[in-house]
Amino acid sequence: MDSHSYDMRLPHDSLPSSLTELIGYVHVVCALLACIGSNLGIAWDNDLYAYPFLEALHDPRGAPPGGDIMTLIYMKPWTRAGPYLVGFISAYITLDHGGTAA
Amino acid sequence: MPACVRAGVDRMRIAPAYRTVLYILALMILGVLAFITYTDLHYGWSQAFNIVFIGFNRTLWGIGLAILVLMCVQRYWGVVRTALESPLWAPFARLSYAAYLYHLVVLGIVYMSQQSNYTYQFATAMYFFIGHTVGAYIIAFAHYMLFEKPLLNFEAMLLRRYAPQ
Repeated sequence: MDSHSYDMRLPHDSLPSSLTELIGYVHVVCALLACIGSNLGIAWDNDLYAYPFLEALHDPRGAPPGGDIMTLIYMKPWTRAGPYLVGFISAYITLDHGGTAA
Repeated sequence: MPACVRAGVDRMRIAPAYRTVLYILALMILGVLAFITYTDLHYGWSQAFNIVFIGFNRTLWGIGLAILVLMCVQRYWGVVRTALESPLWAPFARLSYAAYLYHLVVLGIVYMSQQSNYTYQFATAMYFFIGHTVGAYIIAFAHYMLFEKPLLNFEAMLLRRYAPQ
């Protein structure tokens, strides 16, 4: 099964590899910050509760006010991309140390 | 260890003290995120903490898992690595995606066919949890045998047939 193993690092003849690595890291970190920022901003703007059903247990009026976390956070890709982008960084670190991915 | 990821020859050198720090950090991130909802259930969260939690929880979970996977790929953390490398996980790993897809169906069938409300209590929730898990895996096993494995075999035949010589 493991007979096909590829070095996933792309060949860059024109740019030094340290620069392309830096560009990669900067892109992913910017995307991560955008993801966290969109989560914070959407939650702030709509007074979201992380777990509305749990909050409703404490609220004597029943369901608390606030937007719909299901449609605003749970179903949107830009709020869910964080772990995916962390995976990018993990892959960069593995490949930087001579790892391979197949 | 996933067969698709291989550490290189130049293994990352990490001093034992830093490995311990990373171990505690990953354990704390995953543990806190897994159990923090207890405080929401029993005491409630302020609006500020709700926003912070929504902002960071998924990314933090990813960071905790990434530390764990990276350390295991670099062949550190012997106990954790040995436990996660165990071949006992293989059948569950093959079924996990189908179980993920079907557990919502199981949940829907069970909860939407309730004839009356039931009292939420720990033991009941625990038994539901075990039942949902086993039910989802049984359906996932049938799915695997009926669809997934035959198509994988078919794909392997096709790829062998049309493999570049």
